[in-house]
Amino acid sequence: MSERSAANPLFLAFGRFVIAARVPLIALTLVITALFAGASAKYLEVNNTTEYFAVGNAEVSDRLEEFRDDFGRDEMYAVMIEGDVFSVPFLDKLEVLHAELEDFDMEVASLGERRKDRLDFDPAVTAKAPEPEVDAFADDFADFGGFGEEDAWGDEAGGSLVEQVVSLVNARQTVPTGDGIVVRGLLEDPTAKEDLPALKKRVLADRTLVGNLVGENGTHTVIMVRTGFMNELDSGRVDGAIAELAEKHEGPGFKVTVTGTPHLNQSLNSMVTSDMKRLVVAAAIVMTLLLIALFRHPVGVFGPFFVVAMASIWTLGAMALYGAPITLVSNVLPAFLAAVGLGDSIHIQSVFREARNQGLSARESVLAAIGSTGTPVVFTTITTMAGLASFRFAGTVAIQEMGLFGAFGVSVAMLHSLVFLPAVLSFLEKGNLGGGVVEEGERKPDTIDTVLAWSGGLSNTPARRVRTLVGAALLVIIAVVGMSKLRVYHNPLVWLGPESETTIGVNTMDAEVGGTTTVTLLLEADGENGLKDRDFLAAVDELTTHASEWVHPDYGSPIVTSSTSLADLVKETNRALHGGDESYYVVPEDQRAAADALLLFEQASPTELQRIATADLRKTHLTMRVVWLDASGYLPFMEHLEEGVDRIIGDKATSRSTGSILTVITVVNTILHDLMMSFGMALLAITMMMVILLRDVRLGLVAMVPNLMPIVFIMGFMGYMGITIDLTNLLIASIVIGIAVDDTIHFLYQFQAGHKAFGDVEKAIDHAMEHAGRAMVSTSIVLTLGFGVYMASSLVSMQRFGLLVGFTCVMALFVDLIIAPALLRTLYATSSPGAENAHVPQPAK
Amino acid sequence: MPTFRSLPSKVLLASLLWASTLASAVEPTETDPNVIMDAVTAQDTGDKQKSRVHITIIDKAGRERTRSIVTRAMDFDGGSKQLMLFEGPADVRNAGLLSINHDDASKNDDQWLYLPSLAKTSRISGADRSGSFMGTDLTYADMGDRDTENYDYTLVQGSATVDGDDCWVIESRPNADEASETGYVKSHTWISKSKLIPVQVKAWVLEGKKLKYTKFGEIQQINGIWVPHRIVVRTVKGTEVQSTSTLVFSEIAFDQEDVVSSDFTERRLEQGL
Repeated sequence: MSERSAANPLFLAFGRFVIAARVPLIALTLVITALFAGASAKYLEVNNTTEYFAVGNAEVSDRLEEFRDDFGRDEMYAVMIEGDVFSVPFLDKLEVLHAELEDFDMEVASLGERRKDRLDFDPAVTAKAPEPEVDAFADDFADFGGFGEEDAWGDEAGGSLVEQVVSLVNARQTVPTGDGIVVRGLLEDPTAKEDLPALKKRVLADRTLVGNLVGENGTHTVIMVRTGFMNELDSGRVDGAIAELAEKHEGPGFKVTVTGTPHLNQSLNSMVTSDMKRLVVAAAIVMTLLLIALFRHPVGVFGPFFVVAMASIWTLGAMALYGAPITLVSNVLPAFLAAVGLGDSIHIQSVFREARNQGLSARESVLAAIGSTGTPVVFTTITTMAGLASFRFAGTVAIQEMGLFGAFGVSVAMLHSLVFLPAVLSFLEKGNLGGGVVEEGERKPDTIDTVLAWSGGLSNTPARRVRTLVGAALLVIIAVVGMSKLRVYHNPLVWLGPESETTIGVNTMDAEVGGTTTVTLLLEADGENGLKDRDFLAAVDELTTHASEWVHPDYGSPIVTSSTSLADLVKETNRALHGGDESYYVVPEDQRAAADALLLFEQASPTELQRIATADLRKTHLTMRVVWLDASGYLPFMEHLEEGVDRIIGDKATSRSTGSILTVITVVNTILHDLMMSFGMALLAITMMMVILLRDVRLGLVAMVPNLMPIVFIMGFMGYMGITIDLTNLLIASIVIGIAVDDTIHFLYQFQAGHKAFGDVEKAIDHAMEHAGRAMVSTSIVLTLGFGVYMASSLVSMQRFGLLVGFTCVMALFVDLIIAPALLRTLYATSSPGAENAHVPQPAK
Repeated sequence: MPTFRSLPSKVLLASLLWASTLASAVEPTETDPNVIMDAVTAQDTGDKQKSRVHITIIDKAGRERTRSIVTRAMDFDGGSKQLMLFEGPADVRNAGLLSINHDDASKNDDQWLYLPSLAKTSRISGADRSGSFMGTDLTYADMGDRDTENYDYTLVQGSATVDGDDCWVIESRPNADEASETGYVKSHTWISKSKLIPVQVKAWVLEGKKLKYTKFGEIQQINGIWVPHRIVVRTVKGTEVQSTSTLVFSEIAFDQEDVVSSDFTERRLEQGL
């Protein structure tokens, strides 16, 4: 069968157009690429916060925003200091550092900007009720120039970016005096440093300080810094500047470590960004070397390279223009597009090379390549797009964006494979990919031919076929057992590795001071001043004890290190009103006494009250600092907490949990659910595509076996290797199915073309091996080794990514070259008598 | 930010720094900010005052908390005394606050709070001058006296109209210690040329780079003193309103014979309304 005989006339016509307009098409492609590159350089953002994954998840997102609306930014920068905390030199230095942090300032363009504000303009997000605008309040203030405008602050150089600094220096102390009470910072007591043993004893006995600002050993303390809202980029800059300021104070006996959630996010962002850059370059070098080995010609190397690079640039540029950030999810897109783009272009180049070997001119070879591979390339693209498009139905905006831009990128990769690449190849009048033009039959079989011959021969007799299929079934069973060992474990610290300074910082903070993260309950009582109800306050107190004393079954210790609630303030005030008598560290029994305690607190520390209760005293929060666990590790705690809320709070208030941990738990679960739903829809779409492409229901359905098997294998592999499911590898499944479907479509399309031409299953398998198998092996080698580079990443998540994608490529190839022929021989055994004849395929020519 | 010393006993500005009796002492064409501020701060602030104040605090989400307070105040050599008794809400009725404010900023103000549930008075210490007054957008520094020595004044605008009044706009920039004490980087004050009182103030807040806007409304003369009956203070960050406090005064009276020294004692505080 000649190449032309398998050619699709539509694609032949398209190929002629590409050749005729090759110069303007190449120029146009390069110009658009430059524009997209400019857009991505200018506008593309990185956002790895879990909050971003909550966007689109109305419930969890709304709760988080509700908390922020009422009580401000929940994340605080944490500066942890190690040393002899209760010594004069240490406390003196602490005071100086505290004061400098209070005055800390830098230019932050996005100050006050919240993600939700920007999303109000995002058509992908459900419309929110409009926020009240400043102008609506401006009636009294119309005579102030610039009231409510962004630049109302003007060019005034003074002022601090920082809204609140909390440390032992100013830790609120409501203490009795001879005739009343005094509210002041711990070290604002002029006598505090005079009797350090007494100070140490008092502080380490204070339940509001230990596990919050100081560790129980007295060797570590922390300064918490709160700023206004800002975007991720600026938050990272502020984190760096705070670290720089704090580290200037480091010295003997005063070891400074910056930690906290913003620092963790910043570490992840910078590592993801720098690692990605390094790895993309390294992967590109490896893939280029392999393409050189495969095609031995500059065009054969740079053609696929450009296709992949331009697909990524167009996609990132489109994301930048749309306002979609790079996230932990979408940062797999360049890799994904490399897999798809390389597959397409290697298939086209392989046929081009074979056509040139047969003596055709460059232009004729381009027509042969487009005519022969155009249909499977388009169909692999459509199926992959269908799979990715199914993510549009996900509830998480980050996943929706991944689906949208993944589908866009795949179609762009196809466009470049069918336009740019052939246009460039058509200039290759002299020479050929893989060396010069060789005469028909002159080429000697190489290793790839040997592999193809061996794999095709594994099922070329009934006995071998049964053996292969039984072996495949056994592998599936083993994989399914491995799948049962899979578990969800989302812990960004694991990605950074145990030696990372950020990991060490978080672990030290957990062990030596108190939890790095928080779980928050929003509590809303009935009616104005509902929070003053003493029964409600007593219930909050009981709930705090219920949560604080709970021992985690897996870790054998409590995970709540400290807590803040309105009940604590009332108890503290009540104790102070009773001369510091510990027996009064309770919510007063009498309603009026509870209301009075709150009134006193309001007079003495109104700013503190604003941070914990709304103006109408209807809504408050119970915030618990908790040690760092993986996301699923908090599930039993959340269940315990919910049980406590139902039993203790009951109908005294409505309760909603929020905080970064709850967001993570919900996000991971939502994404799992989204992916399962999306995956089901993708499989359905792909099956239908297969049936349409192959115009054969039976073959279309059988095709799903080699599509699904790599997924089963990789999940089994993960189970056995102890690789857990987290946000970063949840989406590997979509790459797996992309690679698996591509291989299967190319193989079955060529099989069917061969079967129609020869009417013989063996010859059809030979044809498929020759016209698709070779390119499949080449693609798999390039992708496996290219992504293998990721295993050298400093991020554990990236190492796993490289391992899993590499494993996927090998598995997809294994299934298509070994199991698919066995299935096809079984399927066509009755309809094709020739199939029963023993036949050993010859090495492909 | 200019001070509203003795709020609400002196009904803010009216009786304090911003009385009208010397209004004619400064020409409307005056351009020296120090002369203007000296004239403003040299006012007779009135004495022995009674009033009723209704305070509404609204947070950024529009939620409200209200307080109704009956007040009386009088001066003493070196400062002023105020008695504030809570009328509402009902659950804090009869609680009371007694304040003694010293003109000398180096002296801490004294406060006593009477809580009926304990049936005793507690002295509260430690509230710093930049702290919020009763949860409002006003601070204790707003209400205390101000030493002009600690400020540099600049005339920003020689003429600006606010609610029909021709005003000077004067920038007050505190020295470092005063800025740290009061929490303000600087402020702009619109001073009515005819009444010699501030009619609005924009203040730059050090902490978190917030802006505080204060508007004095419903200004009426009582006993020859211009007195605002409505004060609205709004804290804004960027374009976001953080909170708004509205103080509405009624039954304001000066030079009341029944306002006597014995009103400003713990015993009187404990008697309640």
